[in-house]
Amino acid sequence: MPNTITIDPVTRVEGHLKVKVELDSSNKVTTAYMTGNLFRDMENILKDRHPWDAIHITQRICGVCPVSHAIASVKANEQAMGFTPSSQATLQRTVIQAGNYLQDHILHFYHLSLMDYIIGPQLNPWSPGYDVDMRINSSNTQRLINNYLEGLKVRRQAQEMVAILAGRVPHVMSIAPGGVTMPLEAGLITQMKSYLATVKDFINNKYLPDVEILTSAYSDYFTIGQGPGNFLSYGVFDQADGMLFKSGRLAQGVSESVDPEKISEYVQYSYYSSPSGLNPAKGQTTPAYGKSGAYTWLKAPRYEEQVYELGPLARMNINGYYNGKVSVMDRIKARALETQKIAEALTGWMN
Amino acid sequence: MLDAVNELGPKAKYILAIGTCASFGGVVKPSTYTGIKTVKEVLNGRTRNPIINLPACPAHPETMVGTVVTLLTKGLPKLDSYGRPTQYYPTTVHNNCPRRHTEMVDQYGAFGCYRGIGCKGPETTFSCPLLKWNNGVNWCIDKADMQCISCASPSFPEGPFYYGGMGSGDMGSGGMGSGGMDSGGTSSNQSSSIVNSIKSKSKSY
Repeated sequence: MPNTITIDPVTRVEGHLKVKVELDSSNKVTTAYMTGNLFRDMENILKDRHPWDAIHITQRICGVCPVSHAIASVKANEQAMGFTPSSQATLQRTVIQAGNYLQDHILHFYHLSLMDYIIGPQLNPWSPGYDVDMRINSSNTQRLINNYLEGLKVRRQAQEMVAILAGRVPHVMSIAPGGVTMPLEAGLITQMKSYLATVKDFINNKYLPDVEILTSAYSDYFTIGQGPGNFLSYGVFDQADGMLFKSGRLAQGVSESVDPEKISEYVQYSYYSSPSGLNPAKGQTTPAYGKSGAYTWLKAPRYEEQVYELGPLARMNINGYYNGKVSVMDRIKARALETQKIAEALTGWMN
Repeated sequence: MLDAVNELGPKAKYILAIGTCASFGGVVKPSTYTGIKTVKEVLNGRTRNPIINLPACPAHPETMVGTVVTLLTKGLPKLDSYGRPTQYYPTTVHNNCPRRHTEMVDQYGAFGCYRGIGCKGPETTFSCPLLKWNNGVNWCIDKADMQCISCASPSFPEGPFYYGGMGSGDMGSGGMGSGGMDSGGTSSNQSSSIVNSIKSKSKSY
């Protein structure tokens, strides 16, 4: 009878996640079950609706990353209509997206990840908290907590910067088929630049040094969490001359291109009676809770039958902006460096 | 989550249904499978005080914090027939909209009133023109030049959102000139004929 550990819900993630692992007699994980516990039927809600509505409905999938959904929806609509927005509109969308990434990454490091590694003040919501294997000394811990709190403010300011251009965040309004509804004036750009200066200062003087503190204290974490070893990115941040992070694939270290036709979504262990292995362009989503053998609402996407990792580490490795190593700490570090890179790029885009 | 609501709801002094999903069903309401229920549908008649609905999508932080402060300092705020605090849901978006007496325009991105092309401000009760979003830097209509999609109302996400659906099927008619700058494939001939058809179908205001 294997030893089983179940964590439900996994806290400090966006979404509803349950993890169950089975351990052998030497406490090594033999099987792991990742359960997505939420199903909202967004795929079917979109059917029989005007396709432009997707721009707003899909944003409600996530309050942290709604811009990605808005941009994906609007691009799908524009491609279907054979339309290309102007470079100015594209740049405005890129700036909206980039600003959102800044707040998102700061959130991830300080407000989602950090409490795994430090003990916070003995108050709600930090207490009760995780308290195993805490290695950071008390003065650095204090510094990290202070930056955690300041990070809440800086995040808000990054969102305000985005909202100047997007109408509001989350659930942006100004991204629309054809371009962006909001015209830009010099006064607004100046306002955005001052927000950007604050955020950049935080990234360079607090976020990056704090990542250093963490990675030095947990340097053995550079050897765990190797993942599947394959990376994929669809590319992000359109500019006049191509994307800042180009799309691409690293299959066991070999650079390849991305062909969306090669993606399949498998549902053997998922609560769906629709066929398994469909390409998303011909996808079906027929929910069937209680299906025998199924344990999750998540479909299992595969590229050419292989598991691929996406995210900051993938984007940075594929584009040669990171040294290519893979681990728990590499992911945290790559995310921080990506944040810095985006903040730099924003300065250029705003000019 | 349902178990928690059922167990704790009857014991709680006050209950806030935060966001349109909790108040009215929200974006998931059209789903025939999920069986989504509002807080009121789950707890009706079993709560110590009336449930306070704070709809908006996303939920507006000022309504949340303001209502909590009112609860702590004064007690239950005055609620309308939908359970919303009248302080934050006094009247329609339209009645407070700064574009109200401006010229009606036929596309988003142009400065003016979007009532003729499907803005849902007139049928949505919320004070967002006054509260605005993100610390007051902007909101959906003013400066963003986009219509209201009624995210705070019981009917959300009833659509189509853009142009009341009449601009469908043709990019030329829906052109979002990004503020007068080159937007690529727009064709103004199309826009005006769509506007004429909308005007002839809509009531006079």
